[in-house]
Amino acid sequence: MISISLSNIKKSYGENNVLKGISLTFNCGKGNIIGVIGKNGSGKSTLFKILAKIDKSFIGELGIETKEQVRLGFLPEDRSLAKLGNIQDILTLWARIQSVPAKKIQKAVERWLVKTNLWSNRLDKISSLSKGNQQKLQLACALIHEPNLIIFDEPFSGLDPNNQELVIEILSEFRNSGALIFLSAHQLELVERIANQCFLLLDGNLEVIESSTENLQNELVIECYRPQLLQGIPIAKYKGAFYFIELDKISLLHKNILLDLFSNQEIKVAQTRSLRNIFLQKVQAG
Amino acid sequence: MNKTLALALYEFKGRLNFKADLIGFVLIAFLISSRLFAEYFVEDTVPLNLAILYNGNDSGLSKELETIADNLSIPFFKIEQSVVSDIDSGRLNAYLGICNDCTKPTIKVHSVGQFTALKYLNIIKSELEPLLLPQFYKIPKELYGNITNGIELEFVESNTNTYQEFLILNTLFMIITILGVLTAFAFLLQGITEEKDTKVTLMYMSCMEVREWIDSKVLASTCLSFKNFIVYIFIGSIGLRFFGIIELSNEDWAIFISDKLAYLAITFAVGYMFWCYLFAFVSTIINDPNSPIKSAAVLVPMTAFGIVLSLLDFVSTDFFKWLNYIPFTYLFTQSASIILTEIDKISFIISTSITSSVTLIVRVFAIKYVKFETIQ
Repeated sequence: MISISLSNIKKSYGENNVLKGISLTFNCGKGNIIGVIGKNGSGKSTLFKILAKIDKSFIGELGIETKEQVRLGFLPEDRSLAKLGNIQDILTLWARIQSVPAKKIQKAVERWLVKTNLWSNRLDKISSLSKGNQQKLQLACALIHEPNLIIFDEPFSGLDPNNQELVIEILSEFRNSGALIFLSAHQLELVERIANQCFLLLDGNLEVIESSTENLQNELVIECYRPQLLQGIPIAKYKGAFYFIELDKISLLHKNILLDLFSNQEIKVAQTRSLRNIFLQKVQAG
Repeated sequence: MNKTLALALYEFKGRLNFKADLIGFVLIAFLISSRLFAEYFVEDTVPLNLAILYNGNDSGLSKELETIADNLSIPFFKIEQSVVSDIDSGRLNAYLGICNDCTKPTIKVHSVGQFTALKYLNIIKSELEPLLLPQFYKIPKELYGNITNGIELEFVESNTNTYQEFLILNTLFMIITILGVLTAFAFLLQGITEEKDTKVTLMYMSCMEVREWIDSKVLASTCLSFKNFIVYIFIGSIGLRFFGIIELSNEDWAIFISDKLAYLAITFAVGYMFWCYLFAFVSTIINDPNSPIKSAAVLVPMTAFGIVLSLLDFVSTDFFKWLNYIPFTYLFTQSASIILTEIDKISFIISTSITSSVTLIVRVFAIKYVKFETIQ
């Protein structure tokens, strides 16, 4: 089980203060996926390089507590690998430099070739691969040693929906095996689906959006001008004609009443509290 | 497997290119044979028609000149008028008139237009000289032959007899060494700056230290250049022996290998590492793979090479020995000193220690100053 604590982390590039004193603790629990979102240039990659201990020139303290050895799997935003040799050569190299025991290298390489659907391309030169396949190969390179701390910067970019699902599946497997996973992505609906916790990096600070993304999918906001129609239905809060309803706290009967009201156009859905909406609201307000 | 070794092995294997080596062999063979054929054609297919004219009174000389003209397959004339009429009619481009009343031995070249086949002319001149010079100075031909043979140099110290041969071998060694250094230059500067630019290094840095990454690059580069060095020394030595440029006996080779090869290998390794780490350092401080600093950096080893090559005649001087202590010239001067002179062990140890120490310092700087900066 891994725990990472950030204490007043600051990082500047010249006069540009990218991170302005972030203090947070991330716990792995039985496996945790932490989504970090933010607009372009907000400092996500910088934060990830600090977490991965690639960038050590920052102010503040980074503490990693674990009872086992940290095995880091890092995927940078830029998709590039060395161009020499074929896919199998590259995976073998990464198995070696990721300290996979010599006896297990061949099996690990074969397993990841199959897992990422690259088996039939294993003897292809890197330069002949499509962007998507190069990305999958890079993913395999970062995960071939079965890491328990995974930091992925934009793992979905450049992937078709099929391969995005593959990444989600692989990351979920690692979470279920107890890994602590950080990921950033601009595909907010995917982050919402996979992440256990979401943070917004805005103006150099890391702000928690929801302690659990399940809450995001659970909340419904309706617009209603005749409150008496909602009588008996548990309302979490309201603001003017907008009523916030937590779906897991209402009965089937109440859900059916709501459906009738929707179909009769007595009420309408104002918005679901999606990560996208929250992101846009916060960024625009910021 | 050690991470440095793993990455070095991958880079080395990935850049091994036997096809390129084979093409290199073929091209070198083609170039050498082209040179030989070109010489053959230049000498034998001169489009000029020449003749020799001697209108003097010496019948013996006249006869001998006629024989030489016959051997060279060119016409011989005794009467000037007939050769001039041949030139006027275009049958001849030029004729060589042996001067009868000049104060020094002279052959006058008469031509209608510009005379361009100078090499051919020199061949004829060299054929005529052994005949005309004794005639002019009134000395026996044998005596002239002895004079032109010059004075023999006989070295009492047996090793010195092979000095010229080793001088050639040293020049070959130096040329191949600078080729190796330039290969490393291309490999390291391009490799490191491009990897930094494409952020491949970020992934490496997540699982290995900077020093492991730089060491692996240098190690792969050294292995590649060593492979090239062996290949080209092999080809070069065969070429030199094939063309009779060096004729070292097996005993000479045995002495060279037993007495000098180990020192040479150490010099190559230490000197080469210095250049590799220097290039690695330059690469770490350059962020743009197309930086003009790269063009300037390539001039540094070439300048060092040029300086040492021009000073090879002074290999025994103190000045040359001092150059051993400068890391930039160490690789070239130390190897020349080993090949061409008696090995000064103390000087070797000092110069090697200096270059090794400077290399370690450059390595530390390369590791310390490498930066990967991106904002996102």
